[in-house]
Amino acid sequence: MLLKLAWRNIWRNKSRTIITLVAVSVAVILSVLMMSAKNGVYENMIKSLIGDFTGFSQVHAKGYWDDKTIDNSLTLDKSILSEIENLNLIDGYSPRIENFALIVSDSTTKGAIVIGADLDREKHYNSLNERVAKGEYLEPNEQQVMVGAGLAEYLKVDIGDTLVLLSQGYHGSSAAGKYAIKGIVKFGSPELSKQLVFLPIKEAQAFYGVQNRCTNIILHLGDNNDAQLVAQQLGSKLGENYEVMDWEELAPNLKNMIATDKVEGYVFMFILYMVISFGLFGTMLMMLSERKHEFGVLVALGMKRLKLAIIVWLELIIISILGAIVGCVIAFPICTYFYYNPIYFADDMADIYEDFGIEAMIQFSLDPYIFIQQGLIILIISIVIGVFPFIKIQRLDAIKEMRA
Amino acid sequence: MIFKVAWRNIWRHKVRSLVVIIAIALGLWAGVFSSAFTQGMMNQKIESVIRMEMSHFQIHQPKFRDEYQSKLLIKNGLSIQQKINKEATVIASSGRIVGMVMLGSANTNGSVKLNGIIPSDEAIVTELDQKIIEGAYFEGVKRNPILISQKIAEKYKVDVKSKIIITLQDINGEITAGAFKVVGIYNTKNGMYDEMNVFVKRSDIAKLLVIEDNVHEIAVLLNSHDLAEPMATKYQNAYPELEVLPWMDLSTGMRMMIEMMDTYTLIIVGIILIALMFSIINTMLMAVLERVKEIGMLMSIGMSKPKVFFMILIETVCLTFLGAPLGLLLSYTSITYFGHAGINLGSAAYQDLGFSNIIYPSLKYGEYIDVSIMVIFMAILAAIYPAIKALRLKPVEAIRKI
Repeated sequence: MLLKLAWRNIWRNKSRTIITLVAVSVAVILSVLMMSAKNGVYENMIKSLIGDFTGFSQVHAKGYWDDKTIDNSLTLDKSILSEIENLNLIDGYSPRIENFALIVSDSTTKGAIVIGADLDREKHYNSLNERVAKGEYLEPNEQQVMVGAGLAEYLKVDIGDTLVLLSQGYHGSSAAGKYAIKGIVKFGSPELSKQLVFLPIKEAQAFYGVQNRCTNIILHLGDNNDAQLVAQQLGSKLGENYEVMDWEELAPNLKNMIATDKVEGYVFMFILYMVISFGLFGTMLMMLSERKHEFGVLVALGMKRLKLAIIVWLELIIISILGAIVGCVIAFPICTYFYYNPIYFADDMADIYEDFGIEAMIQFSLDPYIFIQQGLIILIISIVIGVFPFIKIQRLDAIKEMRA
Repeated sequence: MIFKVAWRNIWRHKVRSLVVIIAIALGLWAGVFSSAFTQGMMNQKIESVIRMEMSHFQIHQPKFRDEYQSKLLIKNGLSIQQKINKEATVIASSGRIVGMVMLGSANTNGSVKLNGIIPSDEAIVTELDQKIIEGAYFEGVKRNPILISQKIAEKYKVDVKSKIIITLQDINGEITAGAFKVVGIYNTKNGMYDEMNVFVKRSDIAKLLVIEDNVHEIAVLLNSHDLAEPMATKYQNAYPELEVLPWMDLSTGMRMMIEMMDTYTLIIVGIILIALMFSIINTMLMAVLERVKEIGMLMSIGMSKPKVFFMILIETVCLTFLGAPLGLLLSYTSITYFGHAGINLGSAAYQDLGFSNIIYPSLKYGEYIDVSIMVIFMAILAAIYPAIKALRLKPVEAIRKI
């Protein structure tokens, strides 16, 4: 009954309803766009710094992450691999041997990370083959290397040139090898391009003097948001001799950077919410004073004040819900547009981002959580503001209002 | 005449006017405060870049910063440094030998940036001596002392008095190595910086590389941030064969970040202004709808449409000019207060990035005016639509309405 009255009241004065509706939906649109752009930037950061290479989750031998040496490698035996394969959240895995090595070319020397990669798996899960900018992708049994574009530039080498790799192998043995360059790979993160060399994993195992061992197993997840869950579940299954890490542990600097930026973002969101709430408050106050006469008549006719207050409150809630929905509906195509057509930065700005190892673009996020969260926040704000007419109606002087 | 009517209208509906005034004051405050907050964040980053990493300006050989090749020396670096130190605006300078080297401990190897410094100079320029958490600042080890960060100590599993082998290329490109003994462990709280940097005495590394009185890098600390650019330009002209760069061009992206900051602030202020505009449009629209009867009456007794239009516009302008000073006062008070007390973003992980987690908002006076003008302009713009709406009223229908 009350709901019906409230519903009818809403459509009795359309222009008033539309004004309030617009106020709520503009609030939702603004806050959704702001959050979507921000989260999109984070997603891009995580993707280009983590997803392309480090992976969202990794398995190592216990202690490897603190002390990254070949001595802390793990044996690729069936028991681990079957545990990994048995976990539903994991799509697949790719083992790697990573170690620091000195790369010597004709003209100069540089330290880099040499990675023995399972080329078929890297191709399947990480599309590593698509990153080959020049030359060709390695075959599993070859004795050649692929180098990062930035590294190749520094060493002044090209396809077909020979590099000497010097490093420390298993249990202090020395490792040295000579390899021809078959391909040059380019990553979204220039930082990676500057320091990576890829070898087929078989060759890398021979190079470092380890049989059937690797330093880390990259886990490929069905949903990247599950990283923490996977780390917990797999960690408890594999037991004490292994460590399973999610991306927050693998890249604490990135996690900190995002956490910091989020807090800064909250300050602005808070300021925006303040302006929005006052806008809503003003609109509602106007609505109240406009309808004083009507309320006076109703009270004089014997309508219970409480009922009247509830009706007005219901009206506000209905309008707010409609506004939140309309806001999301309008914001969604805008976000979708910028999701598929990210804003790319001009040259100067691109340089900054690339120095941090991030692809230079703003891609809006389409995470449904943002829409729900922002819609709900604005809804709650307007419901809280809606308490004000409640009080106002309780104090209404029917006679005075009717005369006015 | 219209002005008088408008003015009286404002005070006839105190609550409504108050709502608009507060909306404008709040909007203005929001815009100004956001700008000040952004500026505060920027200042904090600038401060940490200058104090910890870059100083005010640095001198190198033109290509040195690309590849850190040890042959790219500043000839007679120490005498240039002494010349710079004579300037009145220079607090101190530090001449360094810099190289990307391989660091080896009993456990592991890795690449780090080696800084060969004069300890007494470095202590003033980067206050490195105050960041020692273990051991001492180049005291207690006679031969080849090396200062490493806590992060490196943990990674390479070394401690004070441990031996470390440094392998590097000399000026002829030959590989050479030297043994160093850890004299102290520092922690600047900037994780990324700490992971990369180790310090040795300039004289020790100069002997190893046969570099003599030359250096790779001269970092200069001035008594004012504003002097960085003019001083850099001055020395660039004095030494055209060298590369002299102020801090904003040394630290990756700093100059762009400073320039970007204005755009960033503008976007945030813009979003706030849009929110403000809608709250004013809504409030004024309600004000017009509420006064349908009154405006209808005015029109039917002969008030012309342009007059009604301007009456509403003038009302908004008056309200804006009442709200704006209030907002400015609010902004000034809050910025002054937080400028001293600071806003503690406790849960933010600033410290791992080398920043303090307290932000001190600050704003130049010119920006108060900029934002005020934008807000006032926006408020007037926002009044146009409701005023037009008032024009569309038909006097007779308007009076009939309840």
